[in-house]
Amino acid sequence: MSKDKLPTNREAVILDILINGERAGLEVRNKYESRTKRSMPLGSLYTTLTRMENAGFVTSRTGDTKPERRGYPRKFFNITGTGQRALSDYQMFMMNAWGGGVPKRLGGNAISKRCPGS
Amino acid sequence: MLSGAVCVGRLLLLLLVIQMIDRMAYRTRELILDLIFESAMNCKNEKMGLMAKARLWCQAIKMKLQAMSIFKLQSKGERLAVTLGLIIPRKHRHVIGDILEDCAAMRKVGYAERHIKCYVVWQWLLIVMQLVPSGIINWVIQRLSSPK
Repeated sequence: MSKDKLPTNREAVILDILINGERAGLEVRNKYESRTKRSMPLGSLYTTLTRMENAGFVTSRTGDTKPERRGYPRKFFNITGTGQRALSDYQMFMMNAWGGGVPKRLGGNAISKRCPGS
Repeated sequence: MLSGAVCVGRLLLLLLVIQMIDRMAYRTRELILDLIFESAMNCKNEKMGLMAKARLWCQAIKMKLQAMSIFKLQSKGERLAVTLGLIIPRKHRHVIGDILEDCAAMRKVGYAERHIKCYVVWQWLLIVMQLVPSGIINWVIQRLSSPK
């Protein structure tokens, strides 16, 4: 695992959403809410995305518009190579932190290193 | 203590911005028309290069289109979103498009107009709170915490 900065939980979810290809800001928000069952205001989303862009995890471009947007353009985000590495590092870190998988109490079959008998 | 000062700073800033909106809501059209007129007068009076004139006229036309789009909107919620969007920095304007898209989706689902308006104001307040430059907040905090 590299020594680069790991993404936060929210950033990791966004990176995972972007891994399948470029998405607009609102699409990212909708996917995030449907996955996590938590609401995310647009202000928070764009603050997080700007921070991720500064960290080099994502790139953005201004794209086309839609009739219901009244001429305001959409902003598209795409994951970078750094972002992909950061996501895999994050997943590896979480796997190690949970002892090789999802903990038992959450329905997984991880074996806790602190309690070898369990 | 610091977080308290940050909250007070943000609140003061919000009050200032709300006052600005209040004025903008009544004067948006006049303001935009004044700007168009000013641009046109600049083109006429000053000895400017062709490209500079063209740029000014493009700006004026763009503003006019923007003004028209505001007054053609039927829904109060969407009109509010566009008006509020005028005082957000240009680089964050795409967020207003997202709010408008959300409004359209909410209307399809069957939300009442007052819910849509509340949603617009709430999202806009969060945007101002979160995207406002930290330099302004620091300035307000400094002003608040300076010894008399």
